Amino acid sequence: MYKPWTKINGWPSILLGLLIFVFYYFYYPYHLHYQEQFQLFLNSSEYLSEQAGKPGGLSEYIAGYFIQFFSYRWYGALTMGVLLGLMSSLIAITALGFGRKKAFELLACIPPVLYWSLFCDENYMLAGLIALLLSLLPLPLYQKIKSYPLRISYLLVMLPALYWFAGGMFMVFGTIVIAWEFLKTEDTTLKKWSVLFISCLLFIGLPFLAKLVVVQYPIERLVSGVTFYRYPQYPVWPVVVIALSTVIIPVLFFFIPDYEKKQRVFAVIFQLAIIISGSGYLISMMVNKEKEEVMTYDYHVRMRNWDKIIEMADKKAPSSSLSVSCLNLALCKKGIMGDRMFHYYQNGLAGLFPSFARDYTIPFIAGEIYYHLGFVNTAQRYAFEAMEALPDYQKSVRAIKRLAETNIINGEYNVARKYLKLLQKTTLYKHWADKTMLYLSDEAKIEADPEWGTLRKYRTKVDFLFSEPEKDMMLGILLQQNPTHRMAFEYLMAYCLLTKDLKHFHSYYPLGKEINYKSIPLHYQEALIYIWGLNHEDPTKNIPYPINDKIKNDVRTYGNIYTSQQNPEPMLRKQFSGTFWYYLHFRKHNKATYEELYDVYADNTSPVSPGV
Amino acid sequence: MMKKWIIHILLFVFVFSACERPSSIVESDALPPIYPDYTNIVIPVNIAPLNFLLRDSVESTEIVIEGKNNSFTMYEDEIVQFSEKKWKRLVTSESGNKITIRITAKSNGKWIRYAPFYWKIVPDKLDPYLSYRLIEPGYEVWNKIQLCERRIETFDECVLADNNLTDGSCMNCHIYGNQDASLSMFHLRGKNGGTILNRDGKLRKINTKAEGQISPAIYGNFHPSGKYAVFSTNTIIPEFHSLKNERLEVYDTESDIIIIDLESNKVFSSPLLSGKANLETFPVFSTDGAKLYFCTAPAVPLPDSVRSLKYNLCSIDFHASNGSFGTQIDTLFNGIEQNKSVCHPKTSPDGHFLLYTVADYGTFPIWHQETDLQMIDLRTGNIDSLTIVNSDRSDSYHSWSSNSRWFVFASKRDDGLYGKPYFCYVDKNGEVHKPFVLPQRNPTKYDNFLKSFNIPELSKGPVPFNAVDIEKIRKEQIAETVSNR
Repeated sequence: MYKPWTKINGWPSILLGLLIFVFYYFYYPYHLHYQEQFQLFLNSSEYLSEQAGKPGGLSEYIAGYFIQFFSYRWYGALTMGVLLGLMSSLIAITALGFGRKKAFELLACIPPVLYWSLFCDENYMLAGLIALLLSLLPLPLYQKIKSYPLRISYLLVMLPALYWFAGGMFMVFGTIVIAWEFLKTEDTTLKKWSVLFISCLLFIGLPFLAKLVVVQYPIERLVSGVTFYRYPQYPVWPVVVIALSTVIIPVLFFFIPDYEKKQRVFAVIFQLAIIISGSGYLISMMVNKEKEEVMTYDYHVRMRNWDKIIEMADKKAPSSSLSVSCLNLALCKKGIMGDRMFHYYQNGLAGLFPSFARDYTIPFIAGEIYYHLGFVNTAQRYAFEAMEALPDYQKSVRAIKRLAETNIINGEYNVARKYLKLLQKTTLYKHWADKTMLYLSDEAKIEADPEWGTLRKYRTKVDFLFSEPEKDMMLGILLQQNPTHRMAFEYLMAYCLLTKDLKHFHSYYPLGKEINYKSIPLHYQEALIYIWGLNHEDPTKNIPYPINDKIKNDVRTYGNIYTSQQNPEPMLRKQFSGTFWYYLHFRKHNKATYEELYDVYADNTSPVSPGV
Repeated sequence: MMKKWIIHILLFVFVFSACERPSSIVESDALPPIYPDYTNIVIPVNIAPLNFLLRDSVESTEIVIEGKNNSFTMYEDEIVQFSEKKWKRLVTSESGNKITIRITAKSNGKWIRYAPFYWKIVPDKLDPYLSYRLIEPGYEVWNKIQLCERRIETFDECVLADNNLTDGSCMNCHIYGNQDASLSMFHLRGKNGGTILNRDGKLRKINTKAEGQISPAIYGNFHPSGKYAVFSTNTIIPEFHSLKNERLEVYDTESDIIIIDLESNKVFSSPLLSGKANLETFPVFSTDGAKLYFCTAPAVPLPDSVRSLKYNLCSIDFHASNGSFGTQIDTLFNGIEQNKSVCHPKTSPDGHFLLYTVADYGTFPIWHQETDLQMIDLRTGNIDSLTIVNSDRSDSYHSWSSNSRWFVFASKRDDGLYGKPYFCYVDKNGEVHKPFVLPQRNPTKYDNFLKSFNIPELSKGPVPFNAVDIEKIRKEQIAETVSNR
C-alpha cells in the first residue's frame, strides 16, 4: 500500500500545528469563538443537501461542522492547528512527487503560514482552507498512477467532483496535475498537451455548466465557488496568492537541487529564519488586538460572565465604545454601575448604548443591553437585523437563540417553537432547546424563570415607537411602569451623567426612590453634591442627601485644586480620574458648556464655579 | 450463509416496522393532528398532492382514502407523502366528489383512530402558476431576496429574480396584468434598477420617477388593456413598536396616485388623486378598466397620530380612451366611520367582487395581527367579513385566479410571523370556503423555512423570463425615463 505520509518529515507540520494551537489557545481564542455565532449548522440531510447543492458547498459544510464547536477554546485552537498542519503535510507530500529535497522540506510551511496570517482577519472563512485541503488530497494518488488512460480518467472524474466540492480551488489540483504531466512523465507531447487542454477546458467550462444548474449565482461567484471571504462580492487576491504558492512550492522541488548534509543544515537554518521572521511579521501585521478585545467582551456578555468582564477591565480598561458598553452592562448586572462606572474610561453615550448599524456585530452587542433592560422588542429586532446583515447569507445560531427567547418572553410560542426546532437539530444547542421547549405555553414556568420572568415584568405595558435619540425617555417609561426596575434606573442615571445632562439627572433622580439602595451609589453622590454646589457656597453643608464623608472631603479637595491651579487636569487625573467630576470637566465626549450646566438650575440667580 | 440470513431478517424487520398495521385501536372524536390543516376543505382538481405530517410524536400512520371511484390505503410514518401519479389519478377520478380520509395513528405505543375528514374536489381549476417573493420577515435590513414561480400542480419552483445576481438590491413583488404571464412587472431597486416590465417575454427597464413625483412607482396594477399601469408614489417610513406582539409600523408621510402610459412613457394624475391634504395609495383598475379603486386617508401628524390614520376605500371613473378621470370620488367603505383602515383592494376578474384587507389603522396590514380580508359584492354592495377565511393573525395580500373561483392570500396564521400562501374557494353563489395552504413536497418545509411568501400572485401560464434575464437587463440596459404629460 502506498503510504506517502511515511516518506516525509512530519516534524515541520507538527511544530507548525503546535505553534498555531498555542497562538489560538492563549493569544487569539475569541476570534474563533466569534466565528461560531455566525452560522447555524444543522444535523439534517436537508441542510447537507442545501449546503452541498452549489459549487464549493461541501467545503462550506465541512467548515461549518468544525466551526460549530469553536465555542470550546481548546477545540477551535486544535482544529486550526491540525488543519493548517495538514495543509503543510499535503504540500510536502505533493512536493515529494516532484523530487525529494530534504534541504527544502520547510518550504511546505509557507502557504499554511500565509493562510494563518489571513485568518487573523475574522472575515476570511475556514471554508477556503477546507477547499484547498480537498484539492490537495487526491494529488498523491494521481502521482502514483502509472497508466495514462487511468490518470486521464481520474482527472476527468476528479476535476468536476472537486469543482463541486471545493469550488475554484479545484484549479490547484488541475494546475499541479498539468505541471506533473509535463515535468515528471515520459508520455508523448500529445498526451501532455491533452491533459493541459482537458484541464483548461474544465477550468473554464465547469463554472458555465454550473450556471445552468444554479442560475441564482453570478458567474464570478461560480468561478470562486466557496465563500473565501465573508463578503462574497470582494475579490480575494490574498487567497489566490496562497493558492498559487501551494502550486508553485511543490513544483519548485523539481527544479531546486538538494544539498549535502552540511549545506543542508545551513539551508534549513536559513529557511527557518526566513519563515519565523516572515510569519512573525505577517502575524503581527494581521493581528487586531482591538477587535480581539471587543470579541472577548462580547463573548463574556453572551455567556453572562459578568465578573470576568470586570476583572478584564480592572487589568486594562477598555476604550472602544463596544467594549465599554459591555463593561457598563456587566457593572449594572453586578449592581455596581453607580459606584464604579467612572473608574473606567467612559466614552459618552456610545459606551452605554451603541447606535444601531446595519451590520452583524454592533446590533448583537447593543441588543444584549436592550435585552437585559427589558426592551424585548428592540432586542428581538437587533438580533433579527444582525442575522439579516450577514453578508454570506448564513443564519446565526446566536440570533436564533435570542429570537427564541424574545418570542417566549412575548408569549409568541409558535414562532419560538419554530426556532427551537431548528436549535434541536444542532449539536451544542440541542440540550438547551429541548429544555426550553418545556417552557412553551407554560406561563407559570416562564414567570418563575429568573431571567425571562424578570424580563416579562420589565418590558413595557404601553406601546411607544422606538426612538434612537430619546433613549432616556424610553428608559423613563420602563421605570415609571416598574419603579423597582433597578437596571432601567441606573441606565437612566448613567445616560444623564454621560451626556453631562445634570438637569435631567436631578429631575430623574427621585424616580429611583423605590429601588431601596442602602446608600446612594457613589457617582450619584458625586453628581448630587456637584449640583448642590452650583448654587451653594459650601456644597457639603445642608445638602439634603446622605453624602458620605469621603465624598464631602473629596469634593472640597477637588474644588480647591480645580479653582487654584492654572492647569488642574494632571493633578486631578492622579487623584480623581475615577470620579464623575473628572469626567464632567475633562472628558471630551458630550462636554456640556458652562451655560448648559448652569441651565440645571435655571431659576438660579448667580452661577457658581462648576468646581464647587 | 449466516450473513444472508441476517440480511433477510433485517429486511423483514425493516419492511414490517415501516408498514406497521393498527391493532388495539382507541377511537377518538378529535380530528387528527395533521399539519398543515387540510381537514374538511375544498380543493381544485389541479392541486399538487396535499402532503402532510402528523404532530404529537406519531410513529406510524394508516391513511384510508375513500372516494366514489378511487379508494386506497397507505401506511406511512409521521410524514404522509402521496405519489404524484397516484394523486393525479385520485383527484381526476373524484373531480366533483367528496372523498373521506380516515387516519389511524400510533403515538406513544397506542393506536388512535381519529375522526374522518373530507376533501371536496371541485372541477374549477386554480390558475396553475403562483409567483411570490421569498424574504425574511425582517425590519430594515434584508438579506437574500428571490422572486419565485411555483407550479401549483406539481412541486416545481423556478427563480424569476435573485438579488444575488443584482448586487443584493431589494426587489419588490411581481404582479401580472389580467393574470396573464405575458404581461407582468416588478420593481428592482438600487443602482441600475428600475421597474422591470415583461410584455410577451420582452423586458423593459423603466425609471418610473417623473419630475415632481414623490418617489418612483410603488404599489401598482395594470389596466386591462395593458396600455396603462397605475401606481402609488409614497414616502414610506418604518417605525418599531415596543409593546409585545406588535412589531413594525410602516406608514406614508405623503402619497399620491399616478398613471403611466406604457406606450408613450407619459405620467399623469388627477388633483383628486394627489395633493398634501390626503394620502392616496393602493390603486387598482376595475375589471372593465372604467374605474380606479384606491385607498385614501386624510393626512394626520405622524408618527404621533398613526393610530388615527384610517384609509377609506374609494373609486373614481377612468376613461382609457383619452386617459382622463371622472370628477367625483365615490366612497365604498368609510374607514373613519367604521374605525378601520382599508388596504389592497383587488377586483375579481368577473367583476363581481372586490376583495380588500381591513386593519385597525395604518397602511401596512401585513404587520398588523388584526388584519382580515373582506369582500364586497359589487353587484349588491353587500360586505362579506369572510369569517371562515380569516384568522387571528394577519391575512392579507390577495390575488384572484382568472376564473374568479379562487383567490390566494398571504396568511400568518401559523405563527404570526412567517406568511404562507393560502387558497380559498369562492363557489358560484359567492360563498367562500375554508382556505388551505400551498402544499409542499416535504410537509416539514414550513417548519424549517425562515422566509415569508410575500404577495402571492396567480397566473395562467409560466413567466417567459428567468433570473439570468433579470441579471442581464440590470447590467446591460439603461432605464427608460418617464415624463409628465
